[in-house]
Amino acid sequence: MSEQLRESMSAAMDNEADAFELRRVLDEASVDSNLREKWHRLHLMRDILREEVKTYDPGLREAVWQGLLNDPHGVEDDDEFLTVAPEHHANKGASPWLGRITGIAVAVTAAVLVVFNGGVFDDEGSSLDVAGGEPFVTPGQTINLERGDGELAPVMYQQATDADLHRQYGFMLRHIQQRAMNQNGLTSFVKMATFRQPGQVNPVPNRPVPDIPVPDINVPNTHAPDQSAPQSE
Amino acid sequence: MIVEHIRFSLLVGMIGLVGMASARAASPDPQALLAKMDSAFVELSYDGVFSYFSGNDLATLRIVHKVVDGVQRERLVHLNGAPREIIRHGDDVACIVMPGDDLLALEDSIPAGPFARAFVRQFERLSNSYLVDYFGDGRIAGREALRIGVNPLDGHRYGYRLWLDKATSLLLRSELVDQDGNKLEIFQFTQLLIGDTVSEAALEGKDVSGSMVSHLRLENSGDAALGDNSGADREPHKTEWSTTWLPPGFEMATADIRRKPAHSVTNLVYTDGLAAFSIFIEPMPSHGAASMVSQNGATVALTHRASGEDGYHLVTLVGEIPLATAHQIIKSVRQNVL
Repeated sequence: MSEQLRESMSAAMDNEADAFELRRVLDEASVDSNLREKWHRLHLMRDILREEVKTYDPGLREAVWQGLLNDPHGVEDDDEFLTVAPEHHANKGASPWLGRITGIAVAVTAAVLVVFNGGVFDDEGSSLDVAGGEPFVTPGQTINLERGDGELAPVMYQQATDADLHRQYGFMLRHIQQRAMNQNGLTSFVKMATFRQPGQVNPVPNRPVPDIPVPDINVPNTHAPDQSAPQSE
Repeated sequence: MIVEHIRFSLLVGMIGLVGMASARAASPDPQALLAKMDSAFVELSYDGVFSYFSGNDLATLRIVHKVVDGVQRERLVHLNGAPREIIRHGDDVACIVMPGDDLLALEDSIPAGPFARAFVRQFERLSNSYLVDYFGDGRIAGREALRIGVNPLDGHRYGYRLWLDKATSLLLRSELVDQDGNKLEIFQFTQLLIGDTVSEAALEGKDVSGSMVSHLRLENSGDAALGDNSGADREPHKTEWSTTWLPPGFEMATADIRRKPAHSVTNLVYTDGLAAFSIFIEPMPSHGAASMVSQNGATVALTHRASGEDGYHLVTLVGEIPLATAHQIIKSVRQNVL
């Protein structure tokens, strides 16, 4: 394997490959079945660890974990071309693959899919990181791929911009409104009335807030003399 | 197959319960009670204060509802933070907010116009995807309640626990729960007045100085840009965009396109009779976009891209469905050759 290819491969793993580097990787993968096989195993391991594979032997996931934790050389010890950043080492003695497969796993998937689908990004949805820990925004992955036909695919950014957030929350609101407009129900408009952009607290304006009285309502069984008792029929 | 098996077991179970059922003959079929709940929303007069928990936030709101001269009127007031009111007068819904409110800012970013008519709630279809049953009695806001569980038959949708007023069938409390029983959204009355004593004056919006109004309306059948699925014709029409996979029980409820000079957005709405999700498809912005996921209570939103006949498109799916299911659906969005 040439030094150039290693560098390109490494860049692809880190989502830092440019279109030319990716082309280099794709070309190589198209003729090297060992390379493809290796990526496939890594992909499978990742899925097992993330419990995305529904049918596998009980204990397999644990075995994969153990393999990664115990083998300092990694399960693919000839993959010296893949450098692992120190922060991705979960354990000193662990395989350099551990961080790749767990922590930054989705970057691997993106690259795997490129390699296996021959450059056409068939399974685009898989590049979505749905396992992110943040309650609201999980930035997607950087995928800057050249398609098989040579057309440059649009960039999917790693960090959501304000425009991205605005667009998604806008559609969220539209969905909530559409639902509310189409169904009867106490709760129909509640979701809309309480909708906020995630992370924003309800801002209280500087001007005085007008007094919105809470209704003076008796609960049943409590008959205030100056109120007509609520009717329950 | 599993569903059929469950249905069969249900049938066997129900036959066994006939004896017991006579003991509570007064209780109607729980599914019929849901329909009654729906008409109670529309027909009854009520004025109450409730709490609403969604995601990480707890809100308190007041609702006033009354049918005046045959027109359904409703007023919903957010009691915390900057004033927000929603006033419904028949099909017209006005949203009164303060300048700078999120609702206004976000509405600017999405295609304007009336909302497609989509019959989202169809209780007659519920039994395909949910098991509806009683699960005891309760008491909410001082009122006796019947508890109904709406339990999904698979992992592609959420369940509900409902507390219905014994006297009027009005919803007193609801919980939206995931497969593990986690409560994603809770609605609960804390004070409630039901009946004719609800004052008409309480329906009038407070004049808040400096407030802004935005109106929402449903489209007339003639507005539909791409067919109208609300009539008797339930045949799924062929749309430019569709999914190659849907969770069992979900069907397209409506499809429309909002055209703007430089920008058109296709909107598909799907429902299983209770849960619903929307898919929005637009041309890929020239500067790209981020793949992202966000969540608000039970509502999840995913944005990703799909390759179409004429290049890449940006697809956003929003719905009250589990994330894994939403993920599977968005992956299957395809452009059709018409």
